[in-house]
Amino acid sequence: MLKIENFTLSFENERFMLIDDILFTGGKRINLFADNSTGKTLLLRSIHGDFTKFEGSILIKEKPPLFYKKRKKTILIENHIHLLMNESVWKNITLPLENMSSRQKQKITDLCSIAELNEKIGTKVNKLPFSSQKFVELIRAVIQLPYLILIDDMDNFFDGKNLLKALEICEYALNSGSSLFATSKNKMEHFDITCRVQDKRVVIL
Amino acid sequence: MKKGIFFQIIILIILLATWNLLHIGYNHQKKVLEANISELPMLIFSTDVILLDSLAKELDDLSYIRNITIEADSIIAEKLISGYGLDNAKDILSSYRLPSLMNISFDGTAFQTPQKEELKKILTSSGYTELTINYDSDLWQLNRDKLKLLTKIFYGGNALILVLFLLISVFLRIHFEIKSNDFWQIFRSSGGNRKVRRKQFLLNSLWLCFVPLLLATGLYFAAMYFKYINIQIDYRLFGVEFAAIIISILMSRIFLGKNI
Repeated sequence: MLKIENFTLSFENERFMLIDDILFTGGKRINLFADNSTGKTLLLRSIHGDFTKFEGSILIKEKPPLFYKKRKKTILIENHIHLLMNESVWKNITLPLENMSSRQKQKITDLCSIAELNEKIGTKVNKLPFSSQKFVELIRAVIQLPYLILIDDMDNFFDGKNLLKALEICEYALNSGSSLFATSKNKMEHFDITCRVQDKRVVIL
Repeated sequence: MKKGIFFQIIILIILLATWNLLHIGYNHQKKVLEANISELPMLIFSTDVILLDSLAKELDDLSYIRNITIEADSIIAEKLISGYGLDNAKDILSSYRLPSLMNISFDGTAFQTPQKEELKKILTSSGYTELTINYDSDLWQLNRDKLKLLTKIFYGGNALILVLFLLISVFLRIHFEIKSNDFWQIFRSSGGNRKVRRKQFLLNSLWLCFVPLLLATGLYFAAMYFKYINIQIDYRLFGVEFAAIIISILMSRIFLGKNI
């Protein structure tokens, strides 16, 4: 699913993140934890295809991220909100879906009930708390069954009970072969693979 | 339909209707001035009615002459007697030799400077030196000058409307597309297909291409049908308007570049 080889991020000739050779198969929950300014966000953006100034190679299903430029197969959930604030929860979740099947509609309802959003489906997202807004983004990502769901600083908005709910929501995509790659400041539980940045190098624990 | 597209359609309808109005106004005013020229007759007097007849035959083929009538001296005398109640002076009038009269009316559209020169040449040629011609050339010149000025204003107005049309339509399109950038950014980051925006741009272009033109044209034909106006405009104008819309769409697309 995701293969990263000889990956290096540098700034003004100083290297700050190195990945020698990592291969993640589909349907896995991967957590990379590290302190601030270690390059976690840039790694996610590189996998997503938004950042290209890195050395080495990233392959998603044996294709570089730029191959998916027109039709993204990865969805990146960043720290800031990417929602239409004056639109309803439903409108935001269904925004990227061109033709929606009744199965998808039912699944959205199910996922919303896990996130306790089923009674707020018609509510404008600007009326929701921050963590609920992130749930909307997560459900929107999960329902599309991308190859990879990338979540930056996941522990910023999902912790404790909310983390369990978020992982339960992700289960739908994971069962279909998608992988979840989440970064955090601290190690998160319930993940299949945990990595950390140690002396600027990503190591699997 | 989004509010932005609806607003653009309204503005385009107003601009196209204004353009149509310019043509209607021009054609109306042109008609009035040409009618003034048509209503201005040329009177030719001669004591020799045969000369007038031969002149009438010569002028008959000219396309800018609408009608020629000749009134013989006896008819003129009768008209004078009945018109002014001169029954007692009938004998006196019959003793005078009155001239015959030729009345020429022109086609105001066709009777322009070269045609007037041609007619002058015929009338001053050697065979017709005895004729007395009465024609208000000053009034004809005044109407022709007005027509020239009207034509200049018309072409200037067309150019101005075309430029305004392109400026306004391109500006509005770019404004609303840039305004929707936030939406499309969120759409893209949510996993939406990049092609959807291009598809939407094309769909909006089709709306902007046909709806304002059909409505503005429909408005004109409805006004004609219900007899609010009775002025035929050159149908090629609708082709020019369509071309202007296409150009504005292409210009917007070029200026928007990678935004789409």
